[in-house]
Amino acid sequence: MIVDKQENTLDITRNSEELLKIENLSVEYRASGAVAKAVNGMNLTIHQGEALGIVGESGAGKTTTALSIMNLLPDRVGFVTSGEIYFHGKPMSSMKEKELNEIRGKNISMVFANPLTALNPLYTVGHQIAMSIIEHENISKNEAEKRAEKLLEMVGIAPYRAKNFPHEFSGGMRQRVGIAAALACSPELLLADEPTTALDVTIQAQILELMKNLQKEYSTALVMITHNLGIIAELCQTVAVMYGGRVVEYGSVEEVFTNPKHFYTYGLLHAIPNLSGPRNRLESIPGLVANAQNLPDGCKFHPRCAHCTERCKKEEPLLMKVSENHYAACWEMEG
Amino acid sequence: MAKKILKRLFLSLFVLLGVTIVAFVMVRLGGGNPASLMAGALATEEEIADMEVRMGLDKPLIVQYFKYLSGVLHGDLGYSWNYQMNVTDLLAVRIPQTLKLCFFGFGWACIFSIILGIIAGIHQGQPIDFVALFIAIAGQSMSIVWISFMLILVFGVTLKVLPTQGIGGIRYMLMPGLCIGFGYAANQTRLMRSGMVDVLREDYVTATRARGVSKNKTYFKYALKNAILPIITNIGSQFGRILVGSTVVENIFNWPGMGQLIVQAINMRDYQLVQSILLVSACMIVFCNLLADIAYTIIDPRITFN
Repeated sequence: MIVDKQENTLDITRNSEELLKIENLSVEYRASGAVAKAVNGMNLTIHQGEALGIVGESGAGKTTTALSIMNLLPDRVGFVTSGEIYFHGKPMSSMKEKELNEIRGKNISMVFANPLTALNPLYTVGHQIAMSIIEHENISKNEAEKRAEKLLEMVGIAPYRAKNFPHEFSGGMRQRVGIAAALACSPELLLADEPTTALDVTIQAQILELMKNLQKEYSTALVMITHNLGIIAELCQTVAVMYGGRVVEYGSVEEVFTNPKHFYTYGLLHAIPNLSGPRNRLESIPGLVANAQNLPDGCKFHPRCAHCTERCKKEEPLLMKVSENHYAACWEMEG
Repeated sequence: MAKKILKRLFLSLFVLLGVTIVAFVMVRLGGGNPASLMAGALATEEEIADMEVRMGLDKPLIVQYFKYLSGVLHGDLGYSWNYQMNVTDLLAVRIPQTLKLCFFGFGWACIFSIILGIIAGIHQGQPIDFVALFIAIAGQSMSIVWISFMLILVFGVTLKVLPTQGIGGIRYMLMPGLCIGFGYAANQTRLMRSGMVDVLREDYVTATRARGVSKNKTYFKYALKNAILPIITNIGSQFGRILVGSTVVENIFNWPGMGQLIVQAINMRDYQLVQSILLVSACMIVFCNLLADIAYTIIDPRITFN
């Protein structure tokens, strides 16, 4: 059975209010004649206080989704071709730039993948943390910078360092600054776009721990974009697996990870090496990630799928209900 | 900082010392005899020899050099035989005229190129960007001499709206000033544009927007400060180019500045005048570079002085 996209709500999140809803979103990048379809009919709902993980290979459309939510797709290159994003039930495409500026940083904020490039080298970290406070709250610059010092302390950096410039910090510290800046106005939704990719493993663990605690403390909804399944298991209650610019499997982390229904999710989970037990050859998903400039018909995953049928090549499956907490888009489930 | 600036100024002295040596040698390598030029076409060999003694050219080169150098160190830039007056007094009148022209050309070129470059960079790939690039490439390709004559032809000869020669009010400055800044403006427009294009691609610009800062504020406050850095270096290093341009322009528009003076001085083999003009120009360039470096340090915390 095919579920109505309006109702793909899980038990665990049904009680809390809908915060953000992405409906049938499609995004294209157009540059010098080439068109890349980064996101293709994406549906996703995020509830208040929920920690949702978005997982997928590079090029699956994860970052594009985040930038679409912020409405910060690159000018004249990224275009939303269809669909709508609702924030508190209000369509964001109808909002004026001024209204969007008020939401950005205050209601929705973002942590970027590369802390080395996401901070302006010519401004003190204190100023960059205070930026959104100054924008959104009616307080003096001095007070805002005091708040910035407190935020720095919260992410584990000595407050006096607010006067320092980004180049005086290590990568991990800069990402802490990025997180402090994103949390400055206690947003309702925090988009974390691979916040640990550019950091080494020990620092990754620190940053994740920090995010986990802060998310609880601020009861912020979190969208954790990553290609690291471990991070999702650690941090999130729900997970959306993306492939070829759409969600192919969605559900509670426990359900999806223990009982994957889509062959892509299955492949991803089996591509993680086991640390214990007998040594086996590591499984991998054959082929390359779908080329956004030349997407296949039907199920986007079919060229790489061992269970591909004629139907998979022609018709694209929608999300179907597996159980109360689990949805997947694969024809195999219909038997 | 002050200590470092002093150190830098001290090091600059060696550069200037080098300039005095090079200028001294070059002007003599040009051939010709200033004494015979001074004595006139009908002078006998004796009269020329007499003149050489009066001008101090009979002494060994090394003596001539150190005599000049000791004068410079005492604030005396030498004597111009052609003008029959002290170089210091001569330059005191001429330098302000050259600086006036240079700053006018420099000023309009900076304002024009920075504004056009920013607009083009923000609207990359759009018609305004192509217009800016066209202006930049055309401007860089046109010779300063050609532009000068074209302007004279159009505004001076055909339309008769602007004076073509000499100094006076601002109207006299328009054409030469425009010519001096032209190539510089073109070059800097491209630099500003590409700086802006690069910076707008940076993550921190998206991050700034993601904090709710408006587009204009992000562009003109946060991005611009980054994009302007190469311009500051350029302003410092290209001032010499403006000075060179002034030499050409002053001669075409008969502007009584240092540039016109040096051409006459070279023709008359007015040794000490040539040497001192080169020295003064070198001082200006050194000073501009120093200013640019100081400005750079103030704007970019990553760069320390020296």
